[in-house]
This record gives sequence, C-alpha cells and structure tokens, in this order.
Amino acid sequence: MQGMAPPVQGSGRAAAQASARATHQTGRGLLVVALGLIVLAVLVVLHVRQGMATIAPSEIIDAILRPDGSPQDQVVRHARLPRVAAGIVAGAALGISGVLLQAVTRNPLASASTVGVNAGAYLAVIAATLFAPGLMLFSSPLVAFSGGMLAALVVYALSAGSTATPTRLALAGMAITLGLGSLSSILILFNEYTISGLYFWGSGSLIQRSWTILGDTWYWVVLIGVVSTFFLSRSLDILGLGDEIATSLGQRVGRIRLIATLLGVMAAALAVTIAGAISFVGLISAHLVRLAGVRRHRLLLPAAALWGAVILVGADVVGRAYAGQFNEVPAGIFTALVGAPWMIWLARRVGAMQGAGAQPVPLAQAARPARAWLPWVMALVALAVVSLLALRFGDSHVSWTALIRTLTGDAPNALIRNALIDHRLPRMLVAGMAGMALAVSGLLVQGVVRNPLAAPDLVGITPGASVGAISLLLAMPDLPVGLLPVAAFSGACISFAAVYALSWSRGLNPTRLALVGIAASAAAGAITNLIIIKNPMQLTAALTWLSGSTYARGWNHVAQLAPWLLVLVPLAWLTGRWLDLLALGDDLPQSLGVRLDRTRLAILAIAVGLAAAAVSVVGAIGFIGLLAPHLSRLLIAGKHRWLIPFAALIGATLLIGADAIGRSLMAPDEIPSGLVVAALGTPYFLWLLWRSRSIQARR
Amino acid sequence: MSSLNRRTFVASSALLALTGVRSVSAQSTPTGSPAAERVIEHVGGTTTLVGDPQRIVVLEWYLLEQVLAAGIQPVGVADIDGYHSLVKLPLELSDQAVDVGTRQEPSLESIAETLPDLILADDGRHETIYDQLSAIAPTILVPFDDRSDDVTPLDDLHNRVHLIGQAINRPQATQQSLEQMERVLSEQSARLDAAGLAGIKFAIASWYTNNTDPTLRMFSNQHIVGDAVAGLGIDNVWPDTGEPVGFSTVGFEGLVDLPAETHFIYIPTEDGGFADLLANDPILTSLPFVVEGRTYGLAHDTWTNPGTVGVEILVTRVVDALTGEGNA
Repeated sequence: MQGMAPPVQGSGRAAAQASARATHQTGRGLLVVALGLIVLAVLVVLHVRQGMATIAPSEIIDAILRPDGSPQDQVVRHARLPRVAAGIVAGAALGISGVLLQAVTRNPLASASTVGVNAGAYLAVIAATLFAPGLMLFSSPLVAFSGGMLAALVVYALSAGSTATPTRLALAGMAITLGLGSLSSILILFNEYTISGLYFWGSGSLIQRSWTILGDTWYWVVLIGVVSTFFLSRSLDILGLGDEIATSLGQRVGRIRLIATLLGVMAAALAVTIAGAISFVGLISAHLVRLAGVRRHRLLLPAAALWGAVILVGADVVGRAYAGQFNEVPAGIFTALVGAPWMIWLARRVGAMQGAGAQPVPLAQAARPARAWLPWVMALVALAVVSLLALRFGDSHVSWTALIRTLTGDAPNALIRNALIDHRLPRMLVAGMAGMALAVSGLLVQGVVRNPLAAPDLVGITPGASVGAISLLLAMPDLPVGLLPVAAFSGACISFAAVYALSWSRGLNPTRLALVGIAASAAAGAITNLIIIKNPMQLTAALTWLSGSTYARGWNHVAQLAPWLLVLVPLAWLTGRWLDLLALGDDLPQSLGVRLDRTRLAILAIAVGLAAAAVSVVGAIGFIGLLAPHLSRLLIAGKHRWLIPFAALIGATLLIGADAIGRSLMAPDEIPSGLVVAALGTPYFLWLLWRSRSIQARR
Repeated sequence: MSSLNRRTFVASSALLALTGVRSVSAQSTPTGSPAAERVIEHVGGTTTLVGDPQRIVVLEWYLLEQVLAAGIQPVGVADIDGYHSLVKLPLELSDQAVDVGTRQEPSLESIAETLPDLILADDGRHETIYDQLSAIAPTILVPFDDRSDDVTPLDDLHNRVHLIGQAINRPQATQQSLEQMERVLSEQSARLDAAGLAGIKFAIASWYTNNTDPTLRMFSNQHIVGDAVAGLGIDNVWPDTGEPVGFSTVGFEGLVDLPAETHFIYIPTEDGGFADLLANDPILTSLPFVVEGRTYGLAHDTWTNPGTVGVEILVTRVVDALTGEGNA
C-alpha cells in the first residue's frame, strides 16, 4: 500500500499529469469526507433515538436546546449524547491508530486489536479490580490505558518492529492476546461473583455514565489527529516508499517510526479507555478510505478518523437494534462480526500481493547434534517421569509405595485404587493423547502454512469447536450433554471447511489461509461472546470449556479419543515426506511431481481430524499446537519423520504436566489445564519470538 | 393480581406437596426409619436411596441452604470460602465440613475421600460429571428451575426443596422450611398492609459496578427476588423481558419509563457507590421517585439467589426498608 511517488524530474507533460492526479485525488478525498459526514449525521440521528426510555424526536431536540431537568432531558444529555459522542471519539481514535500503525509497519493488517492493546487493557482492568481497587477508584481509565500501551509495545518489539511481515505481526499479536487472555480467564474463573460484569466491558461497550471519561480523553484524540495530519503526513507518505528510498530522501526513518508508533498506540489505548475492547474498526476504516482512492496521509488520516466514527456508531446502531429494547449487547461484538468478512476480503488481496513463494522461516533450528539419540532418551524419560508424577500427586495423598502397589494390582485400599485407576490414570491418558494429537496437528499445519507461528487454532478449528460447544452448553441446554463432543467436532470441521474455502482462490496460498483463519477466529469469538452474554449465569461453565480442561475425563473419554490417534497419527507420519518437500517452497515440489493443492488438503484434513478430536474431548486448549512443534525443532534437527513422533512426545508431556499442576497447585480447587499451558507457555513463546527476531535480522 | 398470586401459591404448594414432584415414589416414611427405600427420579436418572444419609456432599450453595435449614450438616461442601463470604445467611456450617473444590469443577478425589453416601449436585453445573459422581455415591441432580414458562420461581423453589427433602430423607423438615417461609411472607405482607403500603408499585434491582458502565440488574417476576417481593402483595413494575435469567441488565436510562409512584428498592455494593450516584448523578436525580425519596437500600450482603431462608431475610429487609421500621 504505497503512496504516490512524486516525480523527481520530467517533462512539462509529466508534471501536468502529476498535478492532474493530485487534484483528482484531492477531489476524491473531499468526496469521501463529505460522504462520511452525511452518513455519520444520519447514524447519529438514528443512534440518539435508540434507547430504553421512550423519547420522541422533538423531545430530543428540546432536551438539547431547551433543557428543563426532566428525566427524559437528562437521559438525552447524560446518557445518549455521551454514548454517541463516545462512538465518534473512540471510532476516530481507532481510525487514526489504524492508519498510523499500518504506515509504520507497512502492514495492511496492523490495527489496535491485532497488536494486543485490547488484551492488555482487559487484563490490567481485571487485575486492578481484584488486587488494587484503590487504583480503579482513582482512575480506571488510566489503568486501561497503561495496560493497553504496555501490551502493544511488547507486541511491536517482539515482532521485530518495522521488519515484521504482515503475518508475523498478526500472529505475534494473537499470541499475546491468547496469553494475556488466559491470565484474565484464570482471574475471572476464581472470582466469578465479583468480576463477571467485566466480561461485558471486555467485549466493547459504548455505555457512558457521564461525560467524565470523554472529557478527559477527547482532546488527546484531537491532538494526536492534528499532530499526525499536519506534521507526520509527508514523512509517512515517503516512508511508504521503503526505508532506503526514504532515508535517501532525507527522512529520519527511525525517529518517525517511533513517534508514529507511540501516537498510534496511544490513540488505540485511548479508544479502549472510552469504549472497552473493540476490534477491527481501525482496519476497516483505513482500507475503506484507501479503496476510495485516497492515498496521501494528509487526507487519509482525517478521512479514516471520520469513517472510523461511522463504523463504530453504525455497529452500535445495528447492535442495539438486534438486542431489542431491554437489553444491551456490546458494540465490540458487532464490529467483529462486520469486520471479519472485511478482513477475509482483505486477506485475499494481501495474500495475492505477497505471492505464493514465501520461504519458510523456522524460528530456530538445532545444529546437527553429535549424539542424535540423546534428545529421544530425554524426551522419553521426561514423559515417563511426568506421567508418574501425575499419578503420584493430586488431591488425595498417595505415597510412592501405594502407587506402585496399585499399579501392580495390589491396591492398599479402595479409596487409593479409586483415585488412581478411576480418576488420575484416565485423566493422564486423555491428557497424553490430546497433547499428542494437538502437537502433531500443529506440526502439520505449520508445514502446510509454512509459517512457524501457525497452530490448529489458526485455521479455524478451535474457534469453530468453541461455537459448537458453547451453543450446545448455553443456548440449547435441553439437549443431552453427551452431544457436546459431537457439537464441538462438527463446529471444528465446518469452521475449517469455511476457512479453507474462503482462502482458496486458484490454489491455496498459505499466507492467505492464515489470515482468513485469524478473521474467522475473530468472528467465531464474537458469536461465542454473544451467546455467553445472553446467558450470564453460565459464564463459568463457558469459560471452563473455552479454557480447555482435562477435569473429570474418564475411561469413556479415553475410548473416544484413542481410535482417532491410532488411525491418524500413523497417517500423519506417512505424510512426513511431503511435508519436507513442501518446506522447500512451491516450485520445487511441483517440479518433483507433488500435486500441491491435493497434498496440502490431505495433510490439513489429517490435522483437522486430530485437532478436532482432541478439542472435542478436552475443550479449546491452545498453545500446545504452537509450542510443541517449536520445542521439537529446537531439540532435534531433521525430517518430519523424526519431528512428528518427537513432537507427539513433547505434546503429551506438556499436557500431562499441565493437568498435574492444574489439579495439584491449589487443591481441591482446579485450574483448567488449558490455562496452565497458556500461562506457562506465553513467557516461553515470547522468548522464542525474541530470539527469532535476531535470527531474521541476521539473514 | 398480587393477592391472587399468593392464594394460588399456597394452594399449589399444598397440592404439590401431596402429589409429589417428578413422580417421586410414595414410599417415603417418616425420618429415622432406616429400612426405608425410596426411588427418586430426577434429571440425571433414577436413583434408589436407602435410609437416612449420614454423610452428604453438597456441591452448590442453594442446595446447601436447604440442607442446613433442614438441620443436617454435610460432610463436604464446594467452595466453603465463597459461601462464607458471599452467602450471608443465619445458617451455621460446621467446621468439620471439608472443602471439595470449586462449584464448577469439584475435586472428585476429595469427594471420594469424604466417603459420602449421598451427593447433591446442580443440573446446570454438574450434568457433565454425573456419571463420575454416581460412581462415588448415589447422586441426585437437582434442576435449579423448570424452564417452561408457566412455572414461577417460587414454584421452582418449592420443587427443589421437595426433591432435596426426599433425597436427604427429611421431607417433613423441608416442608417446614417452606411453611416457615410462607409464614414470614404472610407476616411481612400484613406489616405492609398495616403501614398502608399494600398494592404499591415497586421495582427491585441490584447494583454492581461494571468497570465504568452504570449497570443495574432489574429483577422481574421471572426471578425469585422479584417473585418473592411481589408475593408480599405489591406490584412489580419491571416487565418480563424474556431473559432466561429473569433479570435485565440496564443503564440508568432504563429507569426513566418507570411510573413516577414506583418505590425503588436496591441492593448496593459494599463501597456505597450507588448511594453517591443517587445523590449526584444527573439522570438519577431527575427521576421522580428519587426526588420524592422513594428509594430504599437494602444491606449490601443481601443474597440474590435465595432459598427458603434467604427469601425470609429478603422480604423482611424489604418491608423494614419500605416501612422505615426494624433494624435495617
């Protein structure tokens, strides 16, 4: 998405052409702005008329011009007007933020939500409400703001800043969002009564109690907008030409980038402060305006701000119409539902631009080890040790002797036998199998998408399963709960099929698949949130499934999961050769006779089968599909025929360990294993990202 | 309308007590008869119980309330800390009771270790682990409510209490809990009559801070809080909006259309934030019932998911607040 290249030299005709283009563009820009103002005016009128209290339009006008202190007037002046103003200010802030972040990263997918601002703000607010309520009373907007800023800056730094490719930034943001989100979930799960109300805010809400927050923030948004439009526009235009050209034209690239990033992230954090966690607005508004032909930032910034306001107010109007008179539905849900199709459309264009020849960049690669058997031995030992520990430790006390005696058939008493054979052993087996399935699935998906940051969650498997499961659990509670695995499995398959179909365009572009998957995740997440908000008393049940848990998994679950592994893992192993070939790019395999699309589909089908089976039994466990493959690559070098079994071992070890920790750490209280994995996995994953940044720079 | 509701309630509760709920077999005998066998059909299936359960594990607070009210101490309870801090009822839980984990995911090993002979579980939370629980001890899966439209929350309470009574083999004690609650309802209703407040319009809400959003939970008669207070013979003006949970989450704007003569009852949070808002918020201070002083705050720890004991406390506090008497 480059700016218009200024002609350096040329004939008079070229100069005339250039100035004609410039006028044309200015004309277009003004048209966009004028259209935006009209649409915004219409939406504002619609918005102000919506609300629980019955207030006629003439009364609304009276309330603004000739207030008389009646409840209706107060509602208009102190509830409705602040709400629509919040939509305008937050929407504008998101629009500005989107443009700035996209310019800085030269990345059409950058926006507030994709860089982790929302997740950071959410966690900060939850943590402060629980542990530092004084801070919240003092200035809750400040808490949200700081949290958002911190998270975004971490994402930016970890994804190697300006050298980040579009996918890398989006994936890094997703990882931070997942990690911080898991911490938030843990806090909510253990404080269900006190802070379940924050779940609503976490989905983005324009409700305002008064003008206070707006009063503190609106001028900052205006300031940022003005500064970036009048002082940064030209620099940003030139920056869009590439670092080298920009430097040669005299721009201080590093400094501009830093200022623009700070301003962009600040604007995003301000938006979160006003309206909670809202996604996609910055993304859509910037591209909408660019589509209309506006390129230069001097026009782009104000236009994107305007259209950001349009989109957010519009989403709120739609949301309130959907919710009916007596309910509130967070605006953030609707921006995601509207934004996801938009992002899918964008992804199809971006993928095409990036080209299908993207080389894989492994995050890290082990040097060829001298003693190739050592990692295997260590992995097997680790698995054995963790399994024994998982059996030994838990809520009831079981000594080592008792353990050995029970395993050999001579249990000391019925309680111990019950604890080990009926509860811990099947849990351990389910955890092991699910971990194996997710790890192998992750490896396969990474091999096809050719991106080391890919995971089964990415191609829509886990989010789709979540929609299926939460629909059954919450929206259709009369259906037998035994159907839960079926619902989850179907959801996963349908979702994957949709993602695949939507990203297929004259062949499968791996990058496009990843990006469409992210958009589908967001949409599925919005739908899941919607169901949860309509059933607030079952928040805990929903969150537990969404976190992923090996709780109370028994021998029947072992029987459910085992067939899938027995069939699919060997099949996955057989695809190892193809995966090796796929890693070499697109041209080489094709020239060797590999039919790319069919091979990819076959491998993905196996991956989906494994992941869907695992998720349908243990819920939405993320991170193992992401972590285990990387750990494997770090520890052994080699072909996929070695990587696959090794990753299986690692995955099993990870989840068995998480299961053991989750039920022992705070016994008898249980921490869902999925949250344990995510909470422990995030620091490690961040470290991996940090390392890979320097590797990439050296290439 | 309100007195007709109460009459219907009394009649139907008597009728239900006689006919039983969910085809409980008519073999239940008075308490203390060890050889009594009773077959209970419930959401999880059919369970046969023999005699008096001595070691009961209770996995939800609304179940605990009725068990304690019937005079039985359980050996295991889920989330005891939460019960003590959030559910403030004058029902003592023995120190001997073992905490068996969270209500959503109680520890199966801990439950087994208490060597229970009966487990009381909640249909909503524990349906997925019913098989595992049954493997440890006979388990009764209690449904919190009947999801069909014509069963009121007080009817649901009656059904639950009846089922629990059958399970713990104390049908008379649990019936007494219900009758006691009914007595308190009548007494408090009479107090209101005496104060000239019969038939007034009211709305009852709980306030909880939602970060910076102003949110009130307005209870309709589809929630037991609304239904119980309406059972005092007064008129709940908040309509049934079709929410499965029985309450609507609204901002202050939702109060504007309430009739001016509404008596607004609220349960605040501990920090007193709502009282501040009543004094200062521009929308709230313009409402007629706020201006004319018809707002009544209950104690912040009033439990909003009450059983028989909780309902007694709730309606007593409401009448204390409305009449300005009592030590509220």
